Formats: sequence, C-alpha cells, structure tokens
Amino acid sequence: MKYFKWRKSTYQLKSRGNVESILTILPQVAIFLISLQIVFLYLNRGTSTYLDQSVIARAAVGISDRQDYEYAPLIGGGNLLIMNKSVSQYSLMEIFHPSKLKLLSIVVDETSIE
Amino acid sequence: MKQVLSNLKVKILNARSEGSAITEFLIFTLPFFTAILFMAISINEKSMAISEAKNLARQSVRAYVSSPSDQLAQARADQVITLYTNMLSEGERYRREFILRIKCSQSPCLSAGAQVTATIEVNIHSNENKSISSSVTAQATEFVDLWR
Repeated sequence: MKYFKWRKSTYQLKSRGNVESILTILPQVAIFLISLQIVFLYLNRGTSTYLDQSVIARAAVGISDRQDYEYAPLIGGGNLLIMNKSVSQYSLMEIFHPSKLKLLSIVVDETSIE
Repeated sequence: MKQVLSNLKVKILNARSEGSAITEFLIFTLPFFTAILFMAISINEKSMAISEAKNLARQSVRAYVSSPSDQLAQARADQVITLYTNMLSEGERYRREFILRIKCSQSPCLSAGAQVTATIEVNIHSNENKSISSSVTAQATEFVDLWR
C-alpha cells in the first residue's frame, strides 16, 4: 500500500510541466515535418526534370516511342525538341489543392540535322 | 540560518528547472532546423541551376556547330536560349537571367575541326529587387565537323 502511495506521488511529480512540454515541442515537430516535406518536394522536382531530360534526349537520337514533346524549328534548318509539362505535386500541406510543378526540357533534334 | 537559506535556494532552483529541458532543446534546435531548411532549399536550387545551365550550354553549342553557315550560328545558339526562356513560367523568367557567350579556337568559327565553347551564366535574382542573389556558370565544348 505504501509502495502504491509512493508510486502515485512519483507519477504526480513526473507529470508536472507535461502540457507545457507538448505545447513547446509541437511547433518544433511541425517545422521538422514541413522542412522534410519541402526537401522531398525539391528532390522530386529534380528527379522528374532529369527523367524528362533523359526521355527527350533519347527522342533526339530517334530511340524513343513517346510523343509528348513539341518541335520548334531552328534558324537555318533542324529542330529543337521541347518537353513542357505541368504536373501536380501532392504534399501534406496541399492535399486537396496540389501545387503545379513546371518541368521543362530542351534538346537539339539530331535526326533533323543534315 | 545559512542552512535554511541554502535549502531555500535549492528548492527555488529545483522548482524553476521543471520542464526547462524541452524549452532549452527548442531554443537550441529551432535555429538549427530553420538554417538546415534554408540550406537544403538553396543547395537544391543551385544544383538545379547548374544542371539547367549545363544542358543549355550543351544544346546551344550543338545548335551552333550544326549551323549550315557562320552567319546563322550565333542566331541558332541564341534561339535555344530564347525558346527555353520563353517557356519558363512568368515568375521564373524574371527571376533567372541567361547569358550566353561563344568562344572559338579558329576564325571563322565554323572552320573544319575548330573548337567551339559555349558558356552559360545563370544569374538568379532575388524576388524583392533585381539584385543577383547567386550565379551559376556552365561550359560545353564541341568540335566542328571535319568534313563539313
């Protein structure tokens, strides 16, 4: 019985300041999660840009089946291949209204050069 | 008396230290987290600008050396940059400035076997004013076809 009384008193002691601790640590956790998410979004943007560039570079040498790029004629002959995409980026902050990310890749069409 | 005062001091110190560990942790780590966040964003922005500049330099020098005549070569290289800039979003267009410089080992530039180097300088302006916040330079070199 004495033991339980002692335990109760130690628990009471330990619980002091817990609400304050949560209140102070919550913004910290929020900032940490938001920063992780921002870093992730930036990395995602970089990866998507590199992947698009690889697709269009393959198309420039005639080994890609994809057709989601446009041609722009160059002065004096030849073409430029341009892939201009706008993709949605989902994040915890913008679940219902995802932000739009613009991906732009450009390459000289080697198959059009004489 | 001295003992009583000492006990009181210990009591006050104990009372004040409750929950302060978390506050101290917060005070120390919050600036670090904020700094790391800004650093990550700026490193990523810089690496994207480097990759963009490298690609633009490569494509503009390719357009330059594949020109049918010496007179059109510069216009073709400039066209690559202009088209790319025009396709950027409005905000990015004002934020980033591309400067192209072409250097040739021979004159005229499009002589057989000549070395052509394109240097792209990307100046990133801060949003508030037009001052340059950072700058990235990339180079690409190509040789003019020996049998042209």
